[in-house]
Amino acid sequence: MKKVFLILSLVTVSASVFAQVKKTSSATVSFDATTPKDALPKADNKTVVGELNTRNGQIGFEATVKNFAFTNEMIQDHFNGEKWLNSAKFPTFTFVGKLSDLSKVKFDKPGTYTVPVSGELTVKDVTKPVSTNATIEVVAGGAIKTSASFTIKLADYGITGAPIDAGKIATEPKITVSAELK
Amino acid sequence: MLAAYLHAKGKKAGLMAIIAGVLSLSLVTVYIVFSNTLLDLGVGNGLTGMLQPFLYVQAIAAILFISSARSFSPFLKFFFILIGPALSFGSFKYISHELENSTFSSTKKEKPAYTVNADELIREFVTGDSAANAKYTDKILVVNGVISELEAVDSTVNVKFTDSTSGSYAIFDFQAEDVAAAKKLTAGETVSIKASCSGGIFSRLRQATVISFKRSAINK
Repeated sequence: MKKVFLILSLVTVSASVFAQVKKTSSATVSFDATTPKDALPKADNKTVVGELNTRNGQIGFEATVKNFAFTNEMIQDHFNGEKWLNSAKFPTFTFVGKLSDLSKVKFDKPGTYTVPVSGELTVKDVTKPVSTNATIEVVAGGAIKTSASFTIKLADYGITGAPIDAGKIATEPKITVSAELK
Repeated sequence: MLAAYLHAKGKKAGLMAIIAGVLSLSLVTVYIVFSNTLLDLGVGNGLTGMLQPFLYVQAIAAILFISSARSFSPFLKFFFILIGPALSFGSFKYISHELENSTFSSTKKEKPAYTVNADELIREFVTGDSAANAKYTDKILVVNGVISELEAVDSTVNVKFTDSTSGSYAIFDFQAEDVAAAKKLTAGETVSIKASCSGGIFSRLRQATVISFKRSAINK
């Protein structure tokens, strides 16, 4: 966990030093653990903090676990409960990573690029590597739209239980991140 | 027991036997449907293995009890054998359906636990996040303040109240029915928002406290 905090601090410090940072307080993270047996376990969090340093490609996101909004109250309670995400004890998800092939992306010119991104996702104080492709869209005015999807194994983060075993919750939920950084 | 007592005394015990039998079969049904639910949740290996021998004995005894009621026709006895399990199963299905399909009601209809000023709320979280989280998290709050920023999110918008000194802020995402009204808000405007508080965290990226709210509604 200390390592994650250190990396997040480095992202922030390097961003402020070089003033190449694009930020948002309103990135969206979607969590989709639906299965053919149950369409309810999915939610969006639309107040995720995000930063991208266009100089070195460092990227970071922080999400408040309790701000994932489910349509069903019972599922939301289970999601935040002690056996699942235990949001009272572990209130945030964090991702810190880096865009590869940054030279492909022209941040000063509108265009759309697909670049690999890899980093570490911390959930319930467990940190695991994650890699996927991210779409970077540079829009007029300097804003950057990003999106990426990946799956996580719940068991990797110590999340297990009867509903997962019974196929009511996906063992590998899909996580989709989208943000407009300015 | 009452039915057995009446029968021993040579008095009419038919109605008591029917009631006891129906209730007993209802209980057996409840046990079976809950065992099946546990099976759905991954507990146990099979329904027949989860049902204990006493359950079969109870079901047979209940059917015999109803059958022994002499003052009722065979058709009525058959009806009484079925009615308990049918009502129990129907009630279970109805309650399950209601729980699984219930959605959050409009935040507009919720009664707020607290009405606070945005600046004071942020200060409370900055000076003592544990106490503030214990007080406000998962509660409906009405927060009044001056909008510092509006941030577009997909087709919606988030509203922020920011403390300019610390950079800490409260941020609100809106329920579907209030998105159109939220889009008409402007920075610098005074607004009252009713929302579900998700608590505050210290953001390592922002080096500031972030207080998040979901399912927000314009209060007035």
